[in-house]
Amino acid sequence: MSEWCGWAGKILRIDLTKEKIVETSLTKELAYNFLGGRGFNIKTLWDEIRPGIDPLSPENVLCFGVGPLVGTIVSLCCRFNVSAKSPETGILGDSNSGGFWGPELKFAGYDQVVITGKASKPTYLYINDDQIELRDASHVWGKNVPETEKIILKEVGDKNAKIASIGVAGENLVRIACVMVDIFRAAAWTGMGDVMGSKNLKALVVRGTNGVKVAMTKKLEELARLDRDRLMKNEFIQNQIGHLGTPLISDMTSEQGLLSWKGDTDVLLPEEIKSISGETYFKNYYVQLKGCFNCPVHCARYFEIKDGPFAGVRGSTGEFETIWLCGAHCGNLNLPSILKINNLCNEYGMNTISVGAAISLAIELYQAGIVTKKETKGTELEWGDYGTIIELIHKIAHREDFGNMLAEGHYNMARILGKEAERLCVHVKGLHRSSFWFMNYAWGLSLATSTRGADHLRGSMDTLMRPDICQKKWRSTDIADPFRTIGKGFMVPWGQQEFTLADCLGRCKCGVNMWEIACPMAGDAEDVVGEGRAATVSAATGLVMTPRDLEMVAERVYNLERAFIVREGITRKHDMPPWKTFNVPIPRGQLKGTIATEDAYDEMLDEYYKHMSWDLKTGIPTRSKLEDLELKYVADELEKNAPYPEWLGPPLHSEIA
Amino acid sequence: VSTRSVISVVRGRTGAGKETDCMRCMGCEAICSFTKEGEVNLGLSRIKIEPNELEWMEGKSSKIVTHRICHQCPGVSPCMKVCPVPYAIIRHSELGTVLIDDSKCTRCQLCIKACPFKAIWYDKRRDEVIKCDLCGGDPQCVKWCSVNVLHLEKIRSEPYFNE
Repeated sequence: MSEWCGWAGKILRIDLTKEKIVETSLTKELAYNFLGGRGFNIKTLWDEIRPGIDPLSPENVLCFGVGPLVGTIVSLCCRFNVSAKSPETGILGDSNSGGFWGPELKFAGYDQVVITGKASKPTYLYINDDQIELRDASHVWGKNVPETEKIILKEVGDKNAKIASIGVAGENLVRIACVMVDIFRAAAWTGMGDVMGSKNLKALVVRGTNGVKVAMTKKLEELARLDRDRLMKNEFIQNQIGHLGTPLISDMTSEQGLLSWKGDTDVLLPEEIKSISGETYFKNYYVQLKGCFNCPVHCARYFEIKDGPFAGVRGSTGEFETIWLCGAHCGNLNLPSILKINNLCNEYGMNTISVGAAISLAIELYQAGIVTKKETKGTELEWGDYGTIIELIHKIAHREDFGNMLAEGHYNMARILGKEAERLCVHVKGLHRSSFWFMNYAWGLSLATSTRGADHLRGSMDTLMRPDICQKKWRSTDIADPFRTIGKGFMVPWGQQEFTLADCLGRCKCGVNMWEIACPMAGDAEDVVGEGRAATVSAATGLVMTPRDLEMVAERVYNLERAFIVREGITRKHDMPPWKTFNVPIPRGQLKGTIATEDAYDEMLDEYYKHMSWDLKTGIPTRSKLEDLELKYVADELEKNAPYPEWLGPPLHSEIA
Repeated sequence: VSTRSVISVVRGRTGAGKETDCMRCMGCEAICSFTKEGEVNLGLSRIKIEPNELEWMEGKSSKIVTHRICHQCPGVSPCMKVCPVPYAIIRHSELGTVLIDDSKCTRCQLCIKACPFKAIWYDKRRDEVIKCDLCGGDPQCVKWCSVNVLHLEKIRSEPYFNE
């Protein structure tokens, strides 16, 4: 038996081309230096992906990784990361999901699954403890996620098997396709479902019957209880997020004056969002709570629409991002239609955020005359016309008509449409976030410098902007002001470090870190040093880890990710927010007239790079920094091959480009 | 010999927190196996939460989750009734919990088939028949449940005898 504690101790390597399955042992070097999940994955991607490859070619490497706390008694530890080179952005593809798949992989005895090559026919991978098979998936090819799960569950004859699969969108190489888990959960960002589709891999079916061993059972139990008690006693978590779920953020964001409406052309005021607010959702459509594995926060829900044109629609989640992007951002305030869209995207296996971003940009460009009926094949695009949006979603998944262009993702669509469309396209490194969010400098810098493109889940700033936290950490409350540049250059790295650690350990960020200080685990909520977390990791793995050790891991992972995207052509200029941020002020509400300046971003980037020890001109991690992090081989490679061809995005489908 | 007429049992609440409030996080399964086996291993949990999501979505089921919890059935429980070995399944003298005496159990597994709540399991690894023993009166699943769906209830029963 393996002597690993916390980690399962094994890595599974699947070569789809040669149909070869190899089990390797986890090395101490990998485990201690990269912890797990996101850390393991980026190490694999760096080692095995050559820069400049087409993400949809068999050369791409797809990794599923879980962290050392996944499947232990520590609450909220159920996340896994899917990583590959992204077909949506052409840089780092990395996506994270909860549910039950991650723990199940751990129960089966694996820390990571690495998939290379391309299967000659539709295939699914079946992991049943140490019995691993590649099975024919021809009969489920062309089927959507719920049906696929149903057929495969019947086939393997085990209701407890957990499935990560793609729907029709992934099969059709839609760039914004995601990996769906447990029917409703999505590893959504950066088009990982597309990579699965390109490899002819329909699903990963996992069943594990072993336990996860930990080093100090009693100690871990004690810490896990402290952590859980804190979560269960937190009024906001239990009664707000654990009650209304993430749709509550619609209310919060509109109160901040930052909820974009009709693309990035306007904002919604608090009195205008009644029909999509958290309360409305809860009152009219809520059926039952839904939690991920061992989660006391339970931010997801099951819903049912009882009347109206969408009566009978049942499903789950319908998160803030979906309501915002497929709703408000498209000018649509009809909540039942948004929930229907949510279901459709889940079934087809598409990222609701990217779908909403693509459709809203299309509407904006149509209204501006840049997209015409020639491109849309006669479809008129109007704000809030949910009938058309639903129709477009079907078309995206099947890559039909105008859907073929939308399926490229909003940034790639803009690239096809030309300079003016690119200017209006709000993105950083190919991923969408509202341009208004960049006017909040803490959030903005975090979105701008994230390694997978503009992204709220790579470093949340809300808690860090609490004056009491800033006082405790930096002895200054000025830093807490989001509209001043002061201190953002070191506040943001802290947020990003916390989130990197959460991803490496397998801890959920949404449940805790958005509302409280990131990932404390035991100890009090204002543990700015992270002692509780270090103690928890030590108790689980048996490896003595100090808070500084964990910080080093986070820095190592983050710098390696940075090096990965540098190799794909990212430089300082790609860390700048989109054009609109500096040219379109917030039109209404309490922040009316607010606009960000390029000078402010230049100043913050300087400070940020200095803090990170990255080159000020290029944003490349310096040799001394990389060597400190035991990444000498990375420094060598960057030095040898730089400069790299500038990043533009992934290679486009030849038939449209 | 003692005579008692109250049985303790872990139940889905009725009223304030209903069984339909269960969010199926499987935390109860995790803490149960952790308490009993020292590791999280859902297959060895003495409580089971089963999803019916697909059936529910298609409108074929009104329940999203089903609970498999031992009801500590009052009187001569179905598992006691089928057990071929005298006193292999007994009641706890204080709590009224139905317990399996491992030293007497022959692993015939008739009780598993007889249980109307499917709440008895066979642990292959250790060759043991396992079921909920209420953690000796302090059920960990109840403590761990964050939505207060599980609770410890005392139910009246016919007087029962115990050795």
